[in-house]
Amino acid sequence: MVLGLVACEPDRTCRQDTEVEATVVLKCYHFDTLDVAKTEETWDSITVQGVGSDSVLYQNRKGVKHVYLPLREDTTVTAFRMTWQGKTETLYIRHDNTQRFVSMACGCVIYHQIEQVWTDKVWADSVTILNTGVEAAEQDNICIYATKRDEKL
Amino acid sequence: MRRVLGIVIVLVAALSAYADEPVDTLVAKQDTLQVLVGDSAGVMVLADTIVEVDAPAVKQDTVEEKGNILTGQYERLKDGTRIYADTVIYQGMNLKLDLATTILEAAISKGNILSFEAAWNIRLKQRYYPTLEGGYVNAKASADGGVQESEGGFIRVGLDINGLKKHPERLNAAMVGIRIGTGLTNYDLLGVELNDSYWGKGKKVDFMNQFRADCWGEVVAGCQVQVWEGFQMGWYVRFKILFTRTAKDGQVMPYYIPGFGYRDETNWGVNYYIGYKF
Repeated sequence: MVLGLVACEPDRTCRQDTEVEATVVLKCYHFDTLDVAKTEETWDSITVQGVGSDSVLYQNRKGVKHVYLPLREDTTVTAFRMTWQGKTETLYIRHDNTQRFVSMACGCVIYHQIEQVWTDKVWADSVTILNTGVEAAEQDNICIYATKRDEKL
Repeated sequence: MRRVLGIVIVLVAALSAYADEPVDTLVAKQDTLQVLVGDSAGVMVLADTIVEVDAPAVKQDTVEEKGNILTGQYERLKDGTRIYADTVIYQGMNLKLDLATTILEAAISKGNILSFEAAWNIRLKQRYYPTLEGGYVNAKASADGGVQESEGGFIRVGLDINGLKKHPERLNAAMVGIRIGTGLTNYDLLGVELNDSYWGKGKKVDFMNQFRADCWGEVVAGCQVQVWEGFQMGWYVRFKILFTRTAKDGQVMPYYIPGFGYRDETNWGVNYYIGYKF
């Protein structure tokens, strides 16, 4: 019992979610062959890769409603290549970084404040900031507006 | 004549009764007796006068010295024991060294945590024990997210209450009490993991020369037993509640807090003391 009391120590292994990522949503105006528009909020197929990284975040992923993008802690601009409908767009996010210590088991996480977003306007019509704070609580941060037209017969 | 004889008989009986009492009631320096006497008809009634009797504290041939320490009258017996009336406020002090924390922490952490702790308390009115505890800790504590190397000190102040019946000679005590403690830590956090799995895989950072003060409260229970010639031993079990649970934005916090243990909302502790009564 004595050993148990004195040896009492918290968990050495982190058991909480430490992923901090910006959440990107799509708002797509889909015009059919009769030029009737309906709004879509799901990427039918998307590939995403960080500029400067060899790892692909999403590889031709179907039916994606949210894209979660990890921002860099060593710089204030993070860029991602997003391929959709066969075209590749680059999304740029300017942000600042704040290091937060969670615990000895979990280490540190980096929180961000988004200051500015822009694209090369390949397939994206515009991009806006919904919420600037990228923290532990998940919330939509960026919205990409796009247009998709079905070819007329 | 019968009246005087009655008084004398009652006085002798009273003094005889005092002589047979245990020592703790003998320490009364002066007691007031109401005396029963027989009247002319042989009926026992309360005497008209109050008789004051000086009751001997102890047998005079066992008393070596009389005096006072700060505020209290005492008598020292030839065996060295000091006897206090329970009305005397200050009744001595105890200095104690903790063995349990030192040995167990070092054993369990495989020598990574060296902890030394001492306690001092004073005995008030055979019931209350204001207590001051302090110590030093040198710790190397590790978890998956990094390693803490630190040294620091702590102080706890509080009050124990003895639940045993008051007794001037028997200094044993079964105590419950409360403490408030503060621990000061100088520490380095080394190899703290940055949770940036995409961009900075395996990236770690160090936080050097950090300082933090933490504060907590405790509920304690334990005992203090006289073993030989003023030497004593005893143990405590402690339940600790950390008050300082958060940090300012971005500030790191030590994983191990001197006097509290591993950082958590609550914690337990055990002490095994050896000490000496002054």
